[in-house]
Amino acid sequence: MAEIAFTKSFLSALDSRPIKLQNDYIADPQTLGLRGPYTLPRMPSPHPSMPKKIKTPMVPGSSKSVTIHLKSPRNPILEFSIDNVPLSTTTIQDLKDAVRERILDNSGNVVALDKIKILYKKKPVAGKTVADVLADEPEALNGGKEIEFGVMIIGGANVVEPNVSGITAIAGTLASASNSVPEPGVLQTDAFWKDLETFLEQRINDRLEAVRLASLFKTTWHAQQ
Amino acid sequence: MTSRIDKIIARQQEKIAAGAYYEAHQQLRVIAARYLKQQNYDDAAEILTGGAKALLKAGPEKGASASGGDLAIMLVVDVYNKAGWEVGDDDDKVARGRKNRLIELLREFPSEEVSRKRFINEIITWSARFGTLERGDPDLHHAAGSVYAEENEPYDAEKHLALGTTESAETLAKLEYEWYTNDDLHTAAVYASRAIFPFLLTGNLRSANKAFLIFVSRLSSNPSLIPQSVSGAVSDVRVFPSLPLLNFITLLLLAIQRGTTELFRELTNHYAPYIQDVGIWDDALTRVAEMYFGIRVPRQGNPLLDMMGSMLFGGGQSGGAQRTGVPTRGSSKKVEAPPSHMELD
Repeated sequence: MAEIAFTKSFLSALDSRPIKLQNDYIADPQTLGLRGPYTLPRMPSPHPSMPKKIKTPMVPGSSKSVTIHLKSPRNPILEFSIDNVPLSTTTIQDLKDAVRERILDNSGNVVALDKIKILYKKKPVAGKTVADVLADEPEALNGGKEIEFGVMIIGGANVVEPNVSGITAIAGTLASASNSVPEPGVLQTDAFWKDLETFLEQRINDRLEAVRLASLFKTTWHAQQ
Repeated sequence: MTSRIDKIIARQQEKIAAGAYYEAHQQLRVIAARYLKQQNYDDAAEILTGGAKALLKAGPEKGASASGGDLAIMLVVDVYNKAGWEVGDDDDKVARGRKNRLIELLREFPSEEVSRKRFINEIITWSARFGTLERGDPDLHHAAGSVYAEENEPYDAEKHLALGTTESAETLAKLEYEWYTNDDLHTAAVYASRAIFPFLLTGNLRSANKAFLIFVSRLSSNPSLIPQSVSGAVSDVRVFPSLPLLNFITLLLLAIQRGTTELFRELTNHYAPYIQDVGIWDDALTRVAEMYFGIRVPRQGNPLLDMMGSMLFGGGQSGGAQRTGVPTRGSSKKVEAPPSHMELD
């Protein structure tokens, strides 16, 4: 019980002193002028070295990704999915960007990023990338899963009206096409999807984004068939 | 233009799929060089990235991944550096995309591919040169450290995670805990310290405390270790009666917040015999004493240690390194940088 006794006496000495540094203090890296890390020397011999891990070989071309559903239950009601999201490099910021593209605030302006909160299991996410958030869920990290994130917009916002932007207009047309069922004829041709991709590329001037959106539309449409 | 680049990449990908790795590698180099000559950095980057990914995925057979590594390194050295692309901050979507491309490429490297180490060095060097931090970009350090952590390479992981993001504390704490589970129960503090001292000595109390909390919460789930709560007037701590050195770290982290010399002396005196047994803390504690408690210990002349020190730490220990102090709020005490040593591998 020597440990308990010492701790008690040490704490009484400690608590009489003022706190000079908060427990989340970080020295300004600029002024610290540190160029390299400090790490402890290697473990001396009786300690075991860490067992080597055999990496489970991935099927070529299957970098781990998931489908992410983003859902805001109110103010505004908003729901959409992003397919094939690479786990390790997609940041929460990317998700916020995706939300921001779809909303405007009550006076019609773009919503500030810090007003958009991303939630996971009803709690604000901690972490920078999707992989960080899912760190404790090895199954999700294996990829191929569907993950749902909540969205909260502080101060509320409006979902962009279909005719405000070409992207949502197309999305709207597609949605009504698939809701009113028959006549899938043209949608089954590759030419249609190629056209859509070209249209998107012209409108938003970003080829990668256009390809991504086109495939998003296509898979969503397929899923609803 | 873009579709032309896509076609080039697609054609080379076909070659790679057919096993013509060497041919694809050489052609990709030549094509990229042509774009570089025209200072068309974006297209050169697309070509090199597409080629590097395909080759890295092909694995070690016939040197495919080595060729991929070569293209990835060319991307950093000849595109990112020559173009002078800035690391930028999180609000800059283009810069973020460029940084993410490097992280994605890093993850494509098979663990046994030797050029990965050089690639990591190159991306860190680029971020140090074109970013705001001389020690390198935290996101890139976190990515590199996480790759090593996933492969159970703690020494390499420590070097990068110590300079990483707020998430790095968790990654490192979990790794050291995992390592600890291979050792005797009473050695917990040594493993915990590996996740804490590196953060303390970069002036990052927040990550040091976070790493310690995570380590201790995992430890508390072990039924054979029962912590007891001890409360002072302000502080509450959990004491592990059978793990004195872990209690030492608990109290050290609290004492650092006070920065009082006597507290540090009392603590280290009380635990001196245990600390001596650990064997690898002496230098770190000397630095902690200097950085947080204003205690400068004149180096005793142990010629062998001095020599080792100057070899390992670039001669910084003998007082030659630049020391930039940061005044901490409301006190004259300085949080000082430990001597620098840039060597990352």
